[in-house]
Amino acid sequence: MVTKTEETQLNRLENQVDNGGGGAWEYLCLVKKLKVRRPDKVLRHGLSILNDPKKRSALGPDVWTLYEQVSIAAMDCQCLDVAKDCIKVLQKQFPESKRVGRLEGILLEAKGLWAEAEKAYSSLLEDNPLDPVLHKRRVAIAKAQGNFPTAIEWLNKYLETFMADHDAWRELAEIYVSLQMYKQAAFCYEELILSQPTVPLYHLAYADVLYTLGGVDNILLAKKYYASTIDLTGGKNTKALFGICLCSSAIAQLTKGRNKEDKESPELQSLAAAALEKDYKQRAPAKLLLLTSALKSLKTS
Amino acid sequence: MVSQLYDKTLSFRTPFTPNQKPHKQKRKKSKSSTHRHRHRYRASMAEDLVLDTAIRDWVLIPLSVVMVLIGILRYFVSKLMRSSQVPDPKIVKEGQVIVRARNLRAGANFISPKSFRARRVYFCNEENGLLHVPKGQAQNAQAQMFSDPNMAMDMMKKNLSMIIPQTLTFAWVNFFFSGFVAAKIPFPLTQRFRSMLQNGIDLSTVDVSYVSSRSW
Repeated sequence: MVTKTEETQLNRLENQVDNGGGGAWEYLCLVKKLKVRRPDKVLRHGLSILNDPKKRSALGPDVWTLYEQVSIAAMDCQCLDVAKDCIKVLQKQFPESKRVGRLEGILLEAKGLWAEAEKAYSSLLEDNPLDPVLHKRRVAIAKAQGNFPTAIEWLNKYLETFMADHDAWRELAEIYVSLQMYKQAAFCYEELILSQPTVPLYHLAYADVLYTLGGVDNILLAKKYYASTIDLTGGKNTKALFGICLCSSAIAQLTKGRNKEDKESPELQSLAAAALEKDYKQRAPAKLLLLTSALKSLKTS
Repeated sequence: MVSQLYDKTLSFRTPFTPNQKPHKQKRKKSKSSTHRHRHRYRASMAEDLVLDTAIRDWVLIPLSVVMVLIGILRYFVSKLMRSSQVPDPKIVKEGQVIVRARNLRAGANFISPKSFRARRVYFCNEENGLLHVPKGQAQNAQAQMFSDPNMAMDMMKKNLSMIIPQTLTFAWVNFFFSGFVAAKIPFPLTQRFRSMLQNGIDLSTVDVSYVSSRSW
């Protein structure tokens, strides 16, 4: 995850470079380190460095990583000829290299030639069966073709070996949610929470999935996770506040017939509602009436 | 203390005089009546030998420099000779399993008890749990090291690259720098170290704290 200081630094560098100041190389290095996706800017500034032979020689051996970065950005922006030129230069310098082979595979993917790309990746995987990037590219091909079951199968096989890769778990969870396989998605989100318990995003997503699954136990659990999200974000997450109100009303509805055990105090819901109203008053006062009427209907139902 | 040992005024000696008799190069400040002391006390600590600055300039500093250079050279040679290891899929998987199990233990309070128990069973199940090692099969780490041919080769190469420079250095130092006192160790030592540290010096009255260059 990108921290706040890094984000501000990135924005500052971006503004500086866009307005004609120097520092393009630092910007590109930071983008590469943080793995953010800014293809158009990377392409523009990267090409400006690469087309200038003086700046190119000033980089020394780093010029090849810059070629790689620019080629991937070009493919992202669909400037396939630029990408092809970069790859050709890299191929001349490093014949028979795994990384260049990977780039060629990505180029085939960008052109839409799925079968050739898959063949290229399979042959590369035979030589080095433990390269995580190749596995992930194969999953991406399946996903881009819309072939979700195959994507799930590949991803599961990948995760059997590389269980600690939280990005892969996240991808799997998103695919499951899009296919409405919520139980499996819940499992993936649990993995994510285990590996990174302080990221509120995962708690929130897990709570959403649990609420969607339904059933009193799940909704109780979802309420706890919404609460933990609010805890981790310092009370600023509107979605979690709404989630608590919805959960409380759903629980009240589902347990209407039984005896009121009342172990959950109603304070949580009223607190959440108050926080929501304050937030709306500050940021969107026009919609405050809508909010209050919605909350009232939740309470009574 | 070191400055007391090396006296600039007595430095008209030529630097390398390897085969001279040891006692000729020991300079003493005549006013400290160590002559008399030496006759009377055998293993006295009150003696303070003052050594030639030429010793300091031409022995200690080059020797230290050479040691450092040899260390650097050894590092580069080992980098060249190291064969790139192909990652074994089993080892990679084991590493990842351990990370995941560690995460489970650390974050156990963040997930519901049912899912925690399910994962624990997955890892520690008697029949096919991932972390379960049946008794008697757990191999001794060292036996495994020897049975793996690649690792044995690597270890041998590393040992060789350590031994050869050491022997060369030893022989070179012995040849050039034998026969005189090089430095004084600041803490007192027992008599047993004498043969180890004072290799070229054939006097037995010299304090063990004064060492020859070989020990350096």
